[in-house]
Amino acid sequence: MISLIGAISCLLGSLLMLISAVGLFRFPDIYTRIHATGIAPSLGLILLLFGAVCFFPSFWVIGFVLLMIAINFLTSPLTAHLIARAAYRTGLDLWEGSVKEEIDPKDFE
Amino acid sequence: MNPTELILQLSFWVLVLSIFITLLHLYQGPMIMDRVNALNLLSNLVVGLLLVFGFIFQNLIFLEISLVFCLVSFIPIVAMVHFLLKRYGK
Repeated sequence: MISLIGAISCLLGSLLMLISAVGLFRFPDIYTRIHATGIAPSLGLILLLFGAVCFFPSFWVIGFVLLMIAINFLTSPLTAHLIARAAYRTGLDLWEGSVKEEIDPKDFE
Repeated sequence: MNPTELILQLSFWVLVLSIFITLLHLYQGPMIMDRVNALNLLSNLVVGLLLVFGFIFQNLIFLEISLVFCLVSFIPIVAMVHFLLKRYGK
């Protein structure tokens, strides 16, 4: 029974990752594609690790899973921010439907 | 067939399908930052695939492999972004 709960949680996590992969094609712009790749796989990984706790129920695995969630929460915003910063500073344009641009491009030297 | 095994096989094929979709975007992305972005997603997908392998084969070693992959997978992104900013940034 508990392994069935883990399998359903694992399926939900992989479906979130599929949604994130489809979002690469559905969004028009690099700055909106970062929303697809930076946010959804974190929740998918959390659901997969919950499945890991259900499949291997031991005290060691729970600490392992908490460690992996902490590492992913440190590195996932880091890479998303770096990609957005590099895309802006190498001069990629925003989508024409964007409503607000906080930074003036003339501020760069 | 056991329903747990069936759901695990289904999630394995869903992850393989999303890896192929991401590889297609990696192939035909118009700008280089799109490719870096797809590579970032691909590392997350491979971590998920390793976890599903661990559930299917009932082996705990795949969790350790996925932890190591999660630790090192952000380094190439940082290296590529650093190179692109030095080369093309203003």
